[in-house]
Amino acid sequence: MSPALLPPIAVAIPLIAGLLIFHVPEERHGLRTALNLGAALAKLALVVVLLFGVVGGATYEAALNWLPGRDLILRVDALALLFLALSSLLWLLTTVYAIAYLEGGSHRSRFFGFFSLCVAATAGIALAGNLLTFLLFYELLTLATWPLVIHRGTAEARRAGAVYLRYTLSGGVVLLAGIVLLESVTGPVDFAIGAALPAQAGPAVVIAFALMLAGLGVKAALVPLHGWLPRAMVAPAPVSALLHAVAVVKAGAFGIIRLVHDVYGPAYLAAFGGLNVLMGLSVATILWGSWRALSQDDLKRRLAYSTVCQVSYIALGMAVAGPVAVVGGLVHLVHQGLMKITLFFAAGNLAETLEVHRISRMDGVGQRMPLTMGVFTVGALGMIGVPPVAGFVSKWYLGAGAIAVEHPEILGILVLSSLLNAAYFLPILHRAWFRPPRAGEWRDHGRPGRLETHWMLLLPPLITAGTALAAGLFAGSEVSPLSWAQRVAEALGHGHD
Amino acid sequence: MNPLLPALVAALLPLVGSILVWLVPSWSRALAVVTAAGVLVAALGVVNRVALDGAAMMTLGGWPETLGIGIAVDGVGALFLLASAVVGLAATAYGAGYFPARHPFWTLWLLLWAALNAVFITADAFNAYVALELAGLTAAVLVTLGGERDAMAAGLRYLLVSLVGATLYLAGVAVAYTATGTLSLNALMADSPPMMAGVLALGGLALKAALFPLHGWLPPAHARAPGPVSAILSALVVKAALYLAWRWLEVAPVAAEAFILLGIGAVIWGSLQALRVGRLKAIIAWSTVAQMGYLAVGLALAVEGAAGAAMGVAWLALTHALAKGAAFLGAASVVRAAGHDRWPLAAAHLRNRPVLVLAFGLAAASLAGLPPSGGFVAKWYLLDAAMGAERWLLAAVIAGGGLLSAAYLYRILHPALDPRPGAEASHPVPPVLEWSALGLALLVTAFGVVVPWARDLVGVAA
Amino acid sequence: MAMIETLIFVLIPALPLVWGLLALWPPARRLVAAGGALPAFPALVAAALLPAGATASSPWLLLGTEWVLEPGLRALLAASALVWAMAGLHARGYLAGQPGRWRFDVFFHLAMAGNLGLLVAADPAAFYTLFALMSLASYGLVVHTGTEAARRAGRIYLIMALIGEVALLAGLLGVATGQPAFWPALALGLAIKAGVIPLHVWLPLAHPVAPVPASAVLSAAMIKAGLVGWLRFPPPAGEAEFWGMVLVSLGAVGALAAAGVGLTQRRPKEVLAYSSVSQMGVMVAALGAAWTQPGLAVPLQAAVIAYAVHHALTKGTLFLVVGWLDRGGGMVARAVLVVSALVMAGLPVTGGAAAKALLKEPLARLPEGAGLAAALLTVSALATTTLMVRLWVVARPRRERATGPAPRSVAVATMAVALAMLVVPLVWGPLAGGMAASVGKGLLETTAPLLLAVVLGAWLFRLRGEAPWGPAVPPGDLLALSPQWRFRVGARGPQAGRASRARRWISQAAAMVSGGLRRTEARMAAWGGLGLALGVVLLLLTAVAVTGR
Repeated sequence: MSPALLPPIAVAIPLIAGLLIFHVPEERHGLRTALNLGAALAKLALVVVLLFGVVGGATYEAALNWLPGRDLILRVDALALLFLALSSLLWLLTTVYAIAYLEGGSHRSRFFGFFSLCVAATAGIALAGNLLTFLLFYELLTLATWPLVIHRGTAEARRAGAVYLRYTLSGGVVLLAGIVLLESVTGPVDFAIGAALPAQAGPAVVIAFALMLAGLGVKAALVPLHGWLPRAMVAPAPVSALLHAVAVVKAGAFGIIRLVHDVYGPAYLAAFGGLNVLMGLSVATILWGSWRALSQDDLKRRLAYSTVCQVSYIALGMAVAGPVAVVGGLVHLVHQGLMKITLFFAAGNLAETLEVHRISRMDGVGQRMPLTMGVFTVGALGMIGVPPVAGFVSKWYLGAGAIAVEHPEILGILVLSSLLNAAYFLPILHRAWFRPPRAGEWRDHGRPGRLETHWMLLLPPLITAGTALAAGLFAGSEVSPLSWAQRVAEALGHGHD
Repeated sequence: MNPLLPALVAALLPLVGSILVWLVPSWSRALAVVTAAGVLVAALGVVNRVALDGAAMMTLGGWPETLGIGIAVDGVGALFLLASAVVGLAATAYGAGYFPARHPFWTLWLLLWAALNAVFITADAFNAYVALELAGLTAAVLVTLGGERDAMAAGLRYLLVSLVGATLYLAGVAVAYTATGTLSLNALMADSPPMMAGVLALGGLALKAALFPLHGWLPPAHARAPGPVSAILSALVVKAALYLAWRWLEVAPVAAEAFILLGIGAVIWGSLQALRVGRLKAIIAWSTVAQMGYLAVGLALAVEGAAGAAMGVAWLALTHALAKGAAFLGAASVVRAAGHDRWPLAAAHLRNRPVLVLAFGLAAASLAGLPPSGGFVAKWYLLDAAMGAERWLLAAVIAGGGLLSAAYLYRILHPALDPRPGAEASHPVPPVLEWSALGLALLVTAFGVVVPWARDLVGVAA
Repeated sequence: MAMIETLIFVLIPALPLVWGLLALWPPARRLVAAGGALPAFPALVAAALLPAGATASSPWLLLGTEWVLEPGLRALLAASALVWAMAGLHARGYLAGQPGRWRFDVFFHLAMAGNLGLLVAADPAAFYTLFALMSLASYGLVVHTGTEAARRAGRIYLIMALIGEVALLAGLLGVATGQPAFWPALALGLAIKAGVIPLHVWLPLAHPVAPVPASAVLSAAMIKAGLVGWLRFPPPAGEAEFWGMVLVSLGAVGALAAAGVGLTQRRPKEVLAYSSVSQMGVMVAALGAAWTQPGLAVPLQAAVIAYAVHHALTKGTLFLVVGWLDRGGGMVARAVLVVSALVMAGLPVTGGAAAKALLKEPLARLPEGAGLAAALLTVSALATTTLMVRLWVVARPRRERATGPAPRSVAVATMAVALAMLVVPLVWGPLAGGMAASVGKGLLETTAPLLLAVVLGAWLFRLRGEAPWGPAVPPGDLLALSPQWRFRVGARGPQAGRASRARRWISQAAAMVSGGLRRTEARMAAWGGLGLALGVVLLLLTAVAVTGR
């Protein structure tokens, strides 16, 4: 098999799985589960193969002529692999979780079908080798995730879906306009080569940057384009987990990384102030997200605003530029994914087992569901930046990077945001662990004397929490996300001289 | 083989078919389906020939070009012909499940089809008039076939408007002929006729293409026509006028700016009205008004020489035909199931019909310009052309208009996805109705990914 | 060999960490409760066996961890480990039978891991990690009893600890990147932990409400982390003098003021807490002096560490014996109380005197302010002694409290630390040297202040008895000045009125627009409208064509 086929196969596996799953009859649980897990494992195996290949110096690229003069390119580079590996691992875990979570639910074939399509679109985004391919899969992601958002079918879900579409479609159009505008000046933009930019940034180039940033910023939930994210929390927990940790928000952040490094190059952007704009936006988002999270009583909405804040760290890393900060932003892509998905899994467990959706009803829940709250604690501590959970590593690098490029005020922002994070996470932990439960507070669906909830709802968050902990604790080792991020940062540095 | 033979077949076969159907009404449906298949084969043949051998032109009867009846096919014409063949086949299949055999629909439809195909292959301005007139008449009668009083009124208005438009067009042709002495469109392009010719002809064509503000007749007509007729009207009949307008804009390119203005108006007005109206077919009809606006803007860009605009317009026309055909065929199925099309009331009847929902979904994706549909490709080309020509307002309209489309298309999809149990009293819908809608929708999605073969086609100019 | 050294270093925090986490698993809880002293073992081994100045590295850990056993800190490591171990043993008896005992075990051992680990962690990231672990785990110790006072203390503790954490992070990042501008943040973070005035307000609230074994380690071991941090990450060259002055001033004020406030406290643990603030003030001031006089840095820093060792053992004993008395200790316990109080006060031939002598000597060599330093030291000694008298006053066991014999582990643990408190100064180099110095200076000179203070204390006792010896200052002193504020979690109430009014307005506007659209369209579609439109279009085409040409 030609190695060039590997990238399309990585996209094809979840795509085909999704299309097949649509047709599995609702009652054939075993078949559906087998398809789901089989595809997820196959993709993970492929990712491992690609990892070894890239470490060994191989390149994988597939190109298809789609429009005249425009190819669709799927290429595996270090950055793509970072995102692809994260999404593949988390797809597997979320699938396991979702199978248990949706037990007894309806339209599961439809759900898992779109689930897989969503993963296929994410793989396409990760592997996209040029702007056109990126745009194509970016839009596909919108279309694949919308049915998941409205899955429950309630009026509220469909309203949230409408808001979601409004934001993401608009973002897609703006991104399209930006891409076309840029390519009208520079010709098709391949990520491995970068855009053939004019020496002086003319208005077209600058406006194209603004448009693309806005288009990407919708999915990446940059303020003020973040409004869809808290509303989309009406979706079931596995969907929230997917949206926040794996697919949509990460796709936006990933796009920003590509935009800054592989399209324009940080030096070029700095010349016309583009980096400052990005920095301002990310700082505003960090602070606004943290601030808004303080007043939310609904657990998932609080986590949503936390995501708004955290994903901006990635953008901030790109905006601060400098090798250290870039590493911080890149590695936070992975770390935030692991920690946030843990939090959402835990929130889902609370909702499923105890019908707890509000923080005010979480008193003493640590006693009833210690494993769930345990992983939640790990995730929360990581969000705050308490070592040795992985979030600390990202913040360390971001802070050090900010100092290195003489933007010490960014460190102040990080400090402030850590305090705000503590302010809205620690009370949750306090309630769960240090307060006695109130009688009659929960509708307990669990069974006494057995595991606090279904094992398939516990195993994925345990794995992700453990991974988040290990990623921080063993960050110095060769196989940590941090070292991979460092490798990616080095490779990025060579793209634009 | 003469490359124009398939073109002639495409135009004449439906004519023959309509005569046969008139003679043997009980075989209408079978005859119509066979005819449709034949037309599709012929259209594919034309496409093939043009791709291989390039554009071609001939005059019937061997008369010299400027005097005889000219037939010409080039890349764009071939694409329009293909659209006509595909949508026509779907509409025929649909009609087979919708109308009984002994029904005036068959004769009229085949006649209409012959006229439309004749427009797409004509090289002669007067021929075009004849074909256009015929098309207008048959279409108007088709509108009234529904039998309701509203349909009668709409059909009558359509007829009058069609006549006015055709007369204006004829006036323009007459002026041109008087000045240049030729009726051949090619020749007219070469010796530019007086300005009035272009103004009159384009005015008439704009009326027949329902370009804002001359669109008023379209929504009632398309919305109240019976099932597959709406599809044919929105997908094909207005395209014929558009096709001729394209030819005449090449004759009189100075009028392009006017089309831009009117096109923008059409996009905005059509989208706003689509957001307001309360019946499914009315929403889709207003969508046609808006989409014709896009096509007008794109035409202007193409005529002014913006790179890639011609491809964009051709692709948009093709994909719109497919998508709008799918949408109206789907709507007709809803009417069949519900007995009415009041929206969102009738949406309850979509709830257990995933085939229809999928058809609407895919068609909506193309109309809104979302990948991977054909509509996205068209939007890309047009946007590229606009930005390349530094027409920023047009770029904004093209990009933003997609969002407006998404908004009113969402009106269609949103109630369809409500999981509450469907309406009890739902009439059965024969599968062929649902599947012909879905077929067109799948095709338009497929046309998002098979673009490369088309690009060479468009470049083949007459 | 390097492997074993690395292993020992890693085990210093790792073993208590694992042990503490083990307590989360119900079947293991009894085991964990029973093995109180075990997790401190690696630290003791390291202090005893590893050569001074030993280093190791674990590049795979965190961001690349570097371990070091600084020669001066060996004794502190040993002393801390001993106190932790004995506090763990003490807890076995003190908390026996209490529900939720396992929670204490978890937090206790996590804090132990952090505390012992940071003593040997050389690189900023690892130091920060262990510091954070220690601080955050201590929260659990503070709020363990679950009373309202404990929760309030915990809240204040946590807020200040967090502020300290983030400041420390900023400062350590500055160290890691070689940017001296961030050192003040580092200083702030460490100052909060060390209880430097005015950042000390959490200490008198948190230390008393924790269970006794926890208070012991909080006061004896954990607050020393601030000192260790300052020693390991000194101020940037050129700013040392400035910061030295700052520390000297704050330390001196704290030493005296805290002792004064301590005199007004009603309960033994609060008195002891204020004593800790006061003693830390002395150490901080001495450290500051070391920075202002680089020539005297070596002896001063050594003196500070020795003082820290003495304080650790003595304060540890004091807290533990208070707990012993709580649980029904008898004569022996009372004796230990008196002895340790005397040691703290600076009785000759004890660690207290030795430590003070060690400090006095280099301070006397200060080029300027030597006299002031000596005076301050003397006054502080006076204050401490008086404070110890106060302690004895409020800690006297009541005759009525006969709860039965104290648990054996409590007694054993307390005695062990008391023993160390007495023996270590005799055998350990630096303190032994100080001891010799203290004896050598003449008995009268060292005992005079002691006696004076005892007399003062007796007089105050006579005057006020157990009532506060001064204005009644609540623990946490300065906090009482700030308005009560609480952090509340909750959704903002829906602003119902405004939202629904906006919605009504929007729907009205939409209806208007919709109607307008309908009417306009109707007019356009009518024949008149159509004709008009046709005329307009034709004119437009003409106009464009004309101007185009």
